[in-house]
Amino acid sequence: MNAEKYETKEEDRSQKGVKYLFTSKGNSPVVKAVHYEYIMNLKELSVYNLGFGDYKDDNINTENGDVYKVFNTVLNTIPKFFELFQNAIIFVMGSDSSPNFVEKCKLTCKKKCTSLCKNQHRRIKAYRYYVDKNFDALRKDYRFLGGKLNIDNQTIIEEYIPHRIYHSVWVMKNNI
Amino acid sequence: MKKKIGKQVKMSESELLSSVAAKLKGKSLFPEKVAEARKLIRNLKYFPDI
Repeated sequence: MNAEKYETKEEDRSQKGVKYLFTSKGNSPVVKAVHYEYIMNLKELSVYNLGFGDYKDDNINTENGDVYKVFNTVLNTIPKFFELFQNAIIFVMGSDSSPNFVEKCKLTCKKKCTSLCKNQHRRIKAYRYYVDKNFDALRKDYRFLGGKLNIDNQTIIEEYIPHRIYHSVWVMKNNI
Repeated sequence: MKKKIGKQVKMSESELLSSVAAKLKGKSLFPEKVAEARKLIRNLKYFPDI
């Protein structure tokens, strides 16, 4: 990943995970945090949630004029994380994909959405777009899985196929 | 290094991040997301072999 990014500061490393902090220096300085937090074990591997947001509120997307640089900064923490937690799986699901997001969004949103919330699933779409676009290069080092609902509304996880619609993305190093 | 601006004292970026890190130490930053993820994983219908 050679794209422009911010320098991150590693903090609070333990078996429960690790945090990376950085300052977005767009229109105004905003402290942002990436937190890889232990969820539980699955198939003898530890699963960590990739959480990201403004230091004060994850549900705020500060329009600071540097969205691509911030996104690249977050992505750049992934190989750093795997250097520390080699036998881990990263679970990614956007904060705007949670069941109660739409209800919360309507309280403050200025978009006049009718049936579909335009802000819902924006984050996971951004992650999926990146994975889809760079899949051949990424799969040299990483294995990807995608989460989706079956006809009975149950979550199944499958080997990631680019351009499919997944509500969660799972990443692990190859050859675990 | 702190710079004085008038009567205000401005923190450097490094000091700011250290200050934020101290406030966040040991805390879960996105507990609701982790709880949702835990619930999702516990109710998985299928997960491939690793």
